Amino acid sequence: MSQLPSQRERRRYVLVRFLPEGISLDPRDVYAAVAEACTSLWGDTVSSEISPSVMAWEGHAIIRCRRGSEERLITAVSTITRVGDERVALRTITTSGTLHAIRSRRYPRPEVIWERKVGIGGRIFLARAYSGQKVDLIEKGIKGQEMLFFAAEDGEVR
Amino acid sequence: MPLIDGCIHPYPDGDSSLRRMALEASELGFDQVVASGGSGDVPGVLRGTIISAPSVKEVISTLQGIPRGDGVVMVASGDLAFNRGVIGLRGVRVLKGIHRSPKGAFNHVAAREAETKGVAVELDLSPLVESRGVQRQRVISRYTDLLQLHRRYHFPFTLASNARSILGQRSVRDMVFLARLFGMEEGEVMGALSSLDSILSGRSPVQVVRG
Repeated sequence: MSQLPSQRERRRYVLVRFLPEGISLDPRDVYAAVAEACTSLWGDTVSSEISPSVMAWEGHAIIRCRRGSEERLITAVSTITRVGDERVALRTITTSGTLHAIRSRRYPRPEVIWERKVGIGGRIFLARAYSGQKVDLIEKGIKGQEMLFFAAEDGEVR
Repeated sequence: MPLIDGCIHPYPDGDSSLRRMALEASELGFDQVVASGGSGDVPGVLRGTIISAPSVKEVISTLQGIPRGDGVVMVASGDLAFNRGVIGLRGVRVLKGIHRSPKGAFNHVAAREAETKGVAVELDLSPLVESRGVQRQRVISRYTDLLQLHRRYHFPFTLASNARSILGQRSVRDMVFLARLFGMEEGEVMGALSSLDSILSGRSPVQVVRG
């Protein structure tokens, strides 16, 4: 049933960025991780008050919650270490009262500056350099991929 | 006062290099980090040494091999007698991993001694992030008890992510919110994040200024 705008409950929108750079996650997995984090930290009652829902796209997600519960949501989000099978971190960028405002504050997707193969400890990694001196090293194996995080000045990736 | 992440563990202990973790820490709002490993001279990084020993005697012999004034010396906590012994040692700056020690391993006597000697107690935030259920509840309960002692006896705290990866590092704001889980106020969090600076420079956290 539709309600007048003045009668609708107030919502807050939290913009989060995924780490490692360039990772894309299934929005359903992101929702499952957020719901699990809220429930395990705050319990069922408070989680129902937070009432989180997730919209995710390349490298980012907008998480909606009830107004007044955004601090609890952000605390729960900071305890997320995995989404699906991926090791990730969710960095909160900003909080807003409207979707329109938060969409305009999207964090630019980092550009890949160069890509090449490097050897570390007898293993071959694909090194991908991003702006801000960041270099991610990806080793693809049978059991999935392993990642190392270096900086452009580190001797191993020079 | 600079905000300092009390301890990180870079490559090869973790999966991220010291430089990369220092870059990430700076983006997350920290001025400095204490690193328990890694190589190279990196701006904004304080060198840390962790001593894990079963007895105070062994801690003393390990301390003798560390040049005086060489970074932040942290000792992994044990039972009450061990902790009291360690707090009294010259050169020890931080008592680490108190949540892993038995209950009662840090009481009002140890709290008074820590305040007098200027030894900080580290509150490791990684179990709040990584563990779930009863394990996390125990850590929250332990930190609540420590906070009560801190408010009464004013010994210094440090807050540490103990991250082994950039994925484990948390922002200053996240730390404020996580510390609220055990009742720490924002001002207390900021005090804990900047306490190492005054401990290392030998300043008292409270200074009397006469006009």
